[in-house]
Amino acid sequence: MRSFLTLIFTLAGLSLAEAHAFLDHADPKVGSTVSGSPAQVKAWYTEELEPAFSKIQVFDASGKEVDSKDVKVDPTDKALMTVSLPKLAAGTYQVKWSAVAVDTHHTTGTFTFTVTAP
Amino acid sequence: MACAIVLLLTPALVQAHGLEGDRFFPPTPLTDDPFAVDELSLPLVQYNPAGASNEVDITASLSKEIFPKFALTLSDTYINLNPKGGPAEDGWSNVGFNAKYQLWEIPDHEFILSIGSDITLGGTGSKGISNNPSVSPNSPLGYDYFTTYTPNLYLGKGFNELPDCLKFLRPLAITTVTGYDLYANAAQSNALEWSGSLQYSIPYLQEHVEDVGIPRPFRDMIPLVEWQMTTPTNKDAVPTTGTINPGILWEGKYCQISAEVSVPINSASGPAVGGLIQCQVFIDDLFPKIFGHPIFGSDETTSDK
Repeated sequence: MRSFLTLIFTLAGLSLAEAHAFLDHADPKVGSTVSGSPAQVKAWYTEELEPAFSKIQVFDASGKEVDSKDVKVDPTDKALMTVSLPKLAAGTYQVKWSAVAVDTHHTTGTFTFTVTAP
Repeated sequence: MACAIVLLLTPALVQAHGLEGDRFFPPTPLTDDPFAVDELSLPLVQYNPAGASNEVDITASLSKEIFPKFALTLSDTYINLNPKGGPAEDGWSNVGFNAKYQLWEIPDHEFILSIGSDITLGGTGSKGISNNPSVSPNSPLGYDYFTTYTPNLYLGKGFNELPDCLKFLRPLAITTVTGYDLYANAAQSNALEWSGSLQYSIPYLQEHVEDVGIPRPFRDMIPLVEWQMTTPTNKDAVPTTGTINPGILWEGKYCQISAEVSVPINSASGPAVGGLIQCQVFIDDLFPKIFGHPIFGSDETTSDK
């Protein structure tokens, strides 16, 4: 169908674009429990991201941001966004992400992971 | 000057269709979703077996956001009737318009309430298609000579607030549309239209609750049950008629495909099980320069970063 629409709209002088960036998977996994503090949160998306307008934040149970505020979109895999973490105490942490795909579509989302003592 | 340069370099962000907080409310075949956004349904094909004839409806609709949170929709249905023992009949139903406004949204609670109205213009359908108001006052059998106005209330709510012990039910969400048919024909009994959907979003489970490792294409599926009912308000009219429609919806990158079976709730609703298939095209993803934003004003102009 996309080929057909591409043909139609190319003939009309228009071009197809990319879609919304939704979370594909993450490390730590969504809703998972990990033993020991992870070094970073990695989030893979369904589309390549616009680095200047995409971010991940990690909050502890009291709502305090605990990540190192060094969000990066991987230059070799622009669908991968990471943020570093200091050593986290045992507890449940909320990840809030905001992703802007290269076509400027904006999506947001949250998930949690739990850290236990190693 | 610096601010002006920053503003010029900041892209106008395009809001995702159907998102309220973490929840994506997909457009479902029988329950108009509460979002006033750009949508293209091309087509919705319904098969409705009936006692006297079988019917195939092919519906197309296009929605366009005019102002932020306000959209207009144009729709029409091509009907094929196959009476038993008689010649087939084809034609267009009356043209339908819808106006919708997103009145109240609470993203953290995955809640949205919208208001709107359907207007079905009498006399715009094919003359060869006859209607039988004694069977159902809102039967999609096409031509009515009178116009119908249906003010609607739209609701959407996700189950994200369920406690941890019920976390695997958080992917559930409900949408409803409640409307009241007002006919421009005094002889016609007015009717309450009430439809809804109960959805279990596997993408929501994977992205926001727990990654349980469901592979594609099942990861992109949303099992659901829809109901579509008509209750005439004239006490002498036929009882409530309608269908229960279990089915499944698959979310692709640029389109969504749904299939449902339609089970009549009583003999007045039909003699046998029917079905429907719908393809919903995400035109804002395909053509973001044209769709995905209002014609006047903007949903969002700058990033929050």
